[in-house]
Amino acid sequence: MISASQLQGTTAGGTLNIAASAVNDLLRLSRSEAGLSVDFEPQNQARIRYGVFHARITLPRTIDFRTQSRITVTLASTVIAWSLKAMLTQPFLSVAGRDVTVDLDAVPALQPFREWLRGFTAIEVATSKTTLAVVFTFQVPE
Amino acid sequence: MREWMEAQLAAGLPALAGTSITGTVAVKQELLNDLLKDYLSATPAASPALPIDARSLLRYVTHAAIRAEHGRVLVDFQVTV
Repeated sequence: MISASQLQGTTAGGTLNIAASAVNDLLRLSRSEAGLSVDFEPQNQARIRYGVFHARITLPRTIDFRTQSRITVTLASTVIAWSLKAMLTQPFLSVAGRDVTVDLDAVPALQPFREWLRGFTAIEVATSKTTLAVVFTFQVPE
Repeated sequence: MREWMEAQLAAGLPALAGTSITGTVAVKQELLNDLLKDYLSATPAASPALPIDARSLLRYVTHAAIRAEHGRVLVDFQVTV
């Protein structure tokens, strides 16, 4: 695999528009996440469905991976946050209050991409009923 | 998954409609030479098969230009879906 250091000086930026239907297609096709679906709503709101489990979350508006590759979403319900905290066994997921943080550096599937994640210096996230829009700036420092 | 990707490509990538990305890939000459060496030494059977036909993605490249500077090649690109 090509390392980031081999592409020093690389830059990219733009808007990645991801259809909500595509997110659910990919979740459905993922063996490990079977039964999981998400409905996006305006104002960075989303509803997660997993079997009988439903939860409303707020997605972050900005993300910066320069110092740590983490994404934090906020659950609307404290009760669900407590329940989730008791159930979670994955070391890359943590719950504090209503905030659920995914430590991307600790996700096994993302290990090969750790140094690439650091290149995302600015990410803005916005949702609508049909789309997850991600505006990003990527740079591999010289 | 492969079928889903192929269907997406056949339909014009509706999953990423409205996507627009511009950038510059800076490739050091050492990497280019390594890639060239690997390509020339690989047998057809040993070449990794891409999950999709990469050529079908080229239609979304709306701009590309190559520049060279000391020790590296710069590839400017724009991708629009």
